[in-house]
Amino acid sequence: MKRGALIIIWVLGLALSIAANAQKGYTFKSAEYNFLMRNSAALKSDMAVQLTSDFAFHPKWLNISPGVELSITGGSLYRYFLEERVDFNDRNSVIVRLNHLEYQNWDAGQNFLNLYYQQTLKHFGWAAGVTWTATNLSDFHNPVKFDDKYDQLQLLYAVNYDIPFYKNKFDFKFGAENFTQFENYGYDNVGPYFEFGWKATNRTRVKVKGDFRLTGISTGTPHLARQTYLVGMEWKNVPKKVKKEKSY
Amino acid sequence: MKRFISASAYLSALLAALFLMSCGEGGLELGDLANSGSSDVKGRFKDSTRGQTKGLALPTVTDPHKFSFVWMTDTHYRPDRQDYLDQVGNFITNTGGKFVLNSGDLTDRGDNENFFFFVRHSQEVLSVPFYSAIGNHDLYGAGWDTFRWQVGPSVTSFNYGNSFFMFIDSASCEIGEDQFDWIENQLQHSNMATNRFVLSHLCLYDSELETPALLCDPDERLHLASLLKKYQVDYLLCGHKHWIEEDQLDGFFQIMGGTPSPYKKPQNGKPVFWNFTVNGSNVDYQRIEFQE
Repeated sequence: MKRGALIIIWVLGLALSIAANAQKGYTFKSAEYNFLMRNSAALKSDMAVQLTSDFAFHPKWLNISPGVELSITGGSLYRYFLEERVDFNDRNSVIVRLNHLEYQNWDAGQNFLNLYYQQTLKHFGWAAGVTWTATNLSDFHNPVKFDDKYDQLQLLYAVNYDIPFYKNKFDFKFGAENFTQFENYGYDNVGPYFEFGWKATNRTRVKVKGDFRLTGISTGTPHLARQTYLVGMEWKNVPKKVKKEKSY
Repeated sequence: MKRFISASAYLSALLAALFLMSCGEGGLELGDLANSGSSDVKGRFKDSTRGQTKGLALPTVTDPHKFSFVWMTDTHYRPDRQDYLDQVGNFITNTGGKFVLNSGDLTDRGDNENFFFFVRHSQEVLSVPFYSAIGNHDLYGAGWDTFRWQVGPSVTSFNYGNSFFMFIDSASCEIGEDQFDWIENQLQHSNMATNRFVLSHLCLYDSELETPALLCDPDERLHLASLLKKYQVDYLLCGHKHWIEEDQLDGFFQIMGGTPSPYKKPQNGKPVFWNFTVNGSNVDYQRIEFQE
């Protein structure tokens, strides 16, 4: 029931953004579809699909992204978010995102309010910020409940380096992060990730990502606690072909 | 590329600093990393649930509804450092406490010398049993092979009077699937108990700004919290951070117990132990500072 509602909300959001694209002042900017598998002690071979879209009400001040993740194995894990991004220019952004996570089997949920600065340079990208996290064991469906008895602040970081090759058709990215658009990890949950991308068309990029999380750093018992494998497709609403400029 | 290298260096330095600070005063020593791989949580769980450890001898119950016990965490016993276990022994003698509990890091180096010192020392100054959860420092040195035969299992539970006590193994900063099943099973069968206490080395929460001193995997943290609430656990007694903090969380009360150690003192107070008094369904506790 809940899964159906989430799919309907996402499809309506996507339809709205596509429809809005035709109107002045609204732009459907991009969409992303991911299939991923997580394997950890708590998430045993958990498979999920992630759907994200991005549309601009104002090119600088109001860029809205909704996203939803649905488990296709256990059927009890849901994540969704609503993000607002201020794009100062192509490289620099400030992002505020409200994430909701719930495990129905455990009657437990968490909400995150992430606020961070993100810079994307030619090869190097980084982000830093802070998150306000609240654990909900009573009203765990509530996406905006931040109980002041069980809430915490945490610092956020992400760094990556991107290496394009073969006429910029392919790229290899590696980095480390303690959060993604859908998840917040702990400090003691670190590890590298590797991403291989293929720019199939001017609009479409296909990617494969592997994320390897080590924990037990603070206890001196480091071990590989979790692996995440992701196959995804990013679609950008840009002209299909770039017109060649005349050379004089 | 230079920017990436410098950013990575800064990040690595920050993480290394957090990592070394994360085990309190004295911190974690880099050499500990090389000595900590002798067991994992799955192996310890199997050994403990198959009886491949020293057994626990429980004291006789005199009044099932009224009794007291002492709780400490992060004792870090070692023969070449001072400790206040004799003061605990005197307190127990005067108050009639039934046993002493510890939430891990019983020893500092986890080697035979540390464990044998603790066993000899506790026999000299304590007139009641001493039960301990396992902590990350107990895994260093001879680690698990000595802990299990000198101290006891890494996971266990028992009833004393009207109360249920459960020790869980978070020493490697993970719980694991097998142990989660066991925890739920044990809590399900604790329905006759009036009061429930869970002891873990690592905590689930540490005040407003999270530090790298909690159970590592956020999913495991959430799962454990949900079980503690579901099965009406009253107290989660934990440590690791060498910090004194009492938090009423959603459904249960968590106490981060500082340390009783004179050389690895709590970062926000004096060395302490905690005296719990059970009177029917009323549980009172008192934080007691050692006389330095």
